Amino acid sequence: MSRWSFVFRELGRDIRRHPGTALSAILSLTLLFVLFNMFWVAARSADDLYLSLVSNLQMEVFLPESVSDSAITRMSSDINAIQGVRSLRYITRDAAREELIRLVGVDLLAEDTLNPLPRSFVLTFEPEYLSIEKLAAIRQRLSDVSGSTQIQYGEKWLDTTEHTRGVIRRVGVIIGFFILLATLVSSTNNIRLMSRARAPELLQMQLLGAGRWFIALPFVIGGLLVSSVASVTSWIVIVYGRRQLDFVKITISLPQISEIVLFCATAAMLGAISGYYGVRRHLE
Amino acid sequence: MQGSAHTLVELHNVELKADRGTTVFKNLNLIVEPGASAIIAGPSGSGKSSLLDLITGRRFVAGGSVEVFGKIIQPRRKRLIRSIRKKIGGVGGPFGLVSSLKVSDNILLPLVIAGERPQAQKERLIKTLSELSLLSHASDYPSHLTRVQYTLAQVARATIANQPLILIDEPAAGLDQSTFAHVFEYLFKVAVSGRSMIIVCSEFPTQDLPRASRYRIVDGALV
Repeated sequence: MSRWSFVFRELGRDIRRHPGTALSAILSLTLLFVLFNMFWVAARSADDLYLSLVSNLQMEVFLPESVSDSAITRMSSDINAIQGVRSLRYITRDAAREELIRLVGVDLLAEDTLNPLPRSFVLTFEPEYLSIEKLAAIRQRLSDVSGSTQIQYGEKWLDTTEHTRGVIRRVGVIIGFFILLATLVSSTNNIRLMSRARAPELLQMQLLGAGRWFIALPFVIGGLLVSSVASVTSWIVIVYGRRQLDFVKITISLPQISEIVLFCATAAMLGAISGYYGVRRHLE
Repeated sequence: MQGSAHTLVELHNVELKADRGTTVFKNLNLIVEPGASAIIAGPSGSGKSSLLDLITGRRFVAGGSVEVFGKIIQPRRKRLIRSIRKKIGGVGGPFGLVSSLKVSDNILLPLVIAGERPQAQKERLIKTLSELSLLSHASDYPSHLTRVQYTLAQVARATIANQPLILIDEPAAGLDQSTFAHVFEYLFKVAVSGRSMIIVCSEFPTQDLPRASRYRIVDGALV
């Protein structure tokens, strides 16, 4: 029997002798990982929702009466040159009136002989410039462009949305940290209970000259296996849950496969570390 | 740190205190040369098992020194202690069988730890099991063995890797005279083959080992 086959046989024996402990370890870790994944998915979905809402954000630059057509052409090229501006559309008085009719349904200016609506530019932005600070900077540059009188965009809405997104992220990170901590403690404790039950046997192996890793490896591999199974199961639960929620109109965004694989690998590594820490007391 | 290269075990002016601070050993000296054995008797609580613990590095001296295979045992030298333990076989006391392993796996353990080839392990296992009449119990778990079979399995494990030193704690514990004689007969053969033993017991056995010295623990020293 080679050392490795002994290690794996020990692992098998451990699981066979304490199936309840192994199962409860897998179930409790699965539950913790499901919680963690739910916050991850919620934060990601909120992020995607925020981006889709913000991507439609427009800024309107109203032009004063005094601006001539030639000045509009010059302004147009000045605004286009501002970094972050994705598109620029010039709205004439007539176009503004048509837009008003489209929005309201009736021509409120039917009795007016003159169209009082101002001319304007409507701007959209590159995705990486859709933040409060960057839009404020763009607004500042637009103000510097001569002729612009009033600049409007959903500043307050953007502020609230961005703040909400920040809160979700911060809460997610804090909860995620505590869940990972609970995972480590729970996993280490399970291994500690299993190793405590085997303390006399571990001592006997030490007296025969068994090294730290020879004794610790079955527990390390055990921790790794339990965490791997729990993390994969937790994602199966999340994917199944998402399919069941197909009728909900909100888009639920899952992480990419590579991120899920990385998560499972990290969970497995944490399991291995907790396996080592669980048995550490018996290695001295 | 090197000790004497010519002795197997050398305890020099050893002082050992119990956890409560009472003195267990004071100026205890013992030398066991290769091929020689020592039989040490003492009443319960005299420190017989502690003496074996000092040799296996489970406990450490408060004064003096313990050299095993020419190397001084110290608390921080864990790697050295492990390598020394690989060369020591143990019977009785803390050297119990691993209850979750079959007899054959228990006996093979020193070879597995040493990284011996599986084929060589198998050959040695069959030879050892045959010599100790344990072949029919190879697949049993320790809890299914009789007291004598259990002791014989420990002896098998203590000798399978040709360990040059065998520590035996109360070999007669739980055995009647005839079964103890059977165990001792095998130990005699092992001693004849040139391996050393340190046997600790409450009373000296009636049998003797070749090149064996007898000591008694009196007031924390060997006389």
